[in-house]
Amino acid sequence: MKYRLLCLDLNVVKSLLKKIAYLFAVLCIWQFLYVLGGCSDLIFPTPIQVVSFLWHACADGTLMSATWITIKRLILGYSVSVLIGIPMGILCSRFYILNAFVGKLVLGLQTLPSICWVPLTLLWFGQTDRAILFVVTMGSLWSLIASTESSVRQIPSLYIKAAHTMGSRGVDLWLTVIFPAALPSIITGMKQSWAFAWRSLMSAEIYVSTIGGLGIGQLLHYGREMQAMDQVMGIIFVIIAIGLIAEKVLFANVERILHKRWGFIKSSN
Amino acid sequence: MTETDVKICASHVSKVFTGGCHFIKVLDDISFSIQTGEFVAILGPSGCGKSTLLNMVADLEPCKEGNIIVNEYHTDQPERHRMMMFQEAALFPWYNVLSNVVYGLRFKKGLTNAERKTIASYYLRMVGLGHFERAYIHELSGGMKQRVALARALAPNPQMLLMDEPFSALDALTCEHLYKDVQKIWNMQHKTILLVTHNVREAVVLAQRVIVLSQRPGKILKDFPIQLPYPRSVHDVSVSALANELTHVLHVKGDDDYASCI
Repeated sequence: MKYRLLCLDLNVVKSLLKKIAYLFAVLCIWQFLYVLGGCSDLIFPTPIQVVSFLWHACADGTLMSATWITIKRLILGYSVSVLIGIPMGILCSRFYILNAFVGKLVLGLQTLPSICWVPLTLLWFGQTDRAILFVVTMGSLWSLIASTESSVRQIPSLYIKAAHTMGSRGVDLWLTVIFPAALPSIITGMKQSWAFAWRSLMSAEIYVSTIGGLGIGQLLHYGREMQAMDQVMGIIFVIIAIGLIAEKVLFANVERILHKRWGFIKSSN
Repeated sequence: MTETDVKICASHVSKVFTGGCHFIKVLDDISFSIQTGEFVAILGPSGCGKSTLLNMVADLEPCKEGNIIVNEYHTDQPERHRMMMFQEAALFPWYNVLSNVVYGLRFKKGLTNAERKTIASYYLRMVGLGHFERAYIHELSGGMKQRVALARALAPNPQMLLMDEPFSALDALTCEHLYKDVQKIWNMQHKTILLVTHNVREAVVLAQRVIVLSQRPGKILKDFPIQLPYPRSVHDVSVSALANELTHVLHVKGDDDYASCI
C-alpha cells in the first residue's frame, strides 16, 4: 500500500515536471523567435516582458479586479440564458405550435454572430453593464434553446413507453423519465452555450467600454490603444486560462458523474 | 372454466397502418381468448404484426377495428396490472438497479418507501441479482438487464405479464437460463403471461398454448396446445418434435397463404 502511494506521488511529480519542462521549452522557442525575427517590442514582446506585465498587474490589483468583473458578467449573463433557455427549449419540444414559431426564430438568431448585437445594444442601453449582459445572453441563449429542444425530442421513445406501462404520467413522467433521459445532451448543450457566452462577453467587452468597471476584454482593448503589446499578449493568456479553468470547474465534475451513472458521455453533435 | 375466467379477449381485431397514400394491413381478423393464469405465446414471422397486437393489448396503441377486452372491461390507458417487457430492457440508466425496480412500485398505494425497497430486493433476489442492487445499468450484461426488467415487471404484482420478444437479443446460453427462471416464476405465481416471439422453440418451451400467426397480414394459422409437463428444456426431444411440427405449420400453411395472396 505504502509502495503504491509512493508510486502515485512519483507519477504526479513526473507529470508536473513534464508540464513545467514543456512550458519552459515553449518560452525558449518564443524568446528564440524574438531574437531571430529582430522585431520591435511594440510588435512582438519577449516572454519576460509579458510575465513582468502580468506580475505588475497582479501586484497592483488591476488584473484581479478585472477578472472578477468579467467573471461576474459571464455568470450573470449565462445564468439568464440558462434560466430562460432550458425551460423554453423544453416547452418548444412539448408544444408543436410554439416550436413552429420559436424554432424558426431561434434558428435564425442562432446564426447571427453575437457581436452584431453591439450597435443595437449600445443604442438601447448605452455604455452600461446591462449592454454587455444583453450581448452575452443573446450570444448563448439561442443555441441553448435549440440544443435543449433537440435533446428532449431525441430521447428513446422506449423509455416513455416503459414508464407509461408502469403508470407514470404528466409531470411525474417529465421529472422521472424525460428530463433525466435528456440530461446528458442538455449538459452538452449547456457546455456549448457556455463557450458562446464566453466569446460573446469578450467581443462585448472589447467594443463596449462601460462605466461599470474594467473587465478583461477592456484591458485587452486598452493594451492595443496604448500600443502595449506585452499587455495584449498577457491578457490573451489570462483569457485562455479563465476559459480552461471555468470549463474544468463547471463541467468536468458534472460529466464525471454522468459518466459514472449513464456509462457514457454523449458527444456533442 | 367459466366465462369469468377469461382474462384477455380479442375479437375480430384488424390493424391497418397508413403511410402517405398507401396503406399496409398488418393484422387481419384476429380472435382469441386467454384464461386467467394461462401462459400463451404468439408465434409468427417478423413483420406479421404480433408486436402490434401486444401493444394493442397493453393499450400502447389504439385498437380501431374489432375490440380487445381485458379483465372484462374496455380500457384505453396502460395500467399497472398489465406489465410489459420489451425486446430491449428499457431500464433507466439514471437510476441504479434497485431504484429501477422500485420505479414500478411508486404508484402502488399504501406502501412506505422502505416497504417498496424490500419488495424490490425480494424480486431482485428471485431473478438471481440480489448482489447487484447498487449497480448501475451500464455495468450489467444483456441477460442481467433483462432479469432486472423481469423483476421490475413482477414487482408491482401485476395480474398480467406482456412480453414483447424479451429474449431475442440474448445469446442462447443466457436464454436457457431465463427460460428456466420464467418457468419457475410462472409456476410460483401463475400470472397470465402473453409472450410474443418469432422463436419456435422458445414458444414451445415456455407456453401452454401457441397461437401461430401467418405472414403479413397476420392471420391466426393455428391455435396449438402444448401439453408437455413443466419444467421443460430446449434440449428435450419432445420439445424438438413439437417445434418441428410448428415450424411445418408456419412454412406450409404460411407459404400457401402467401402464394394465394399473389
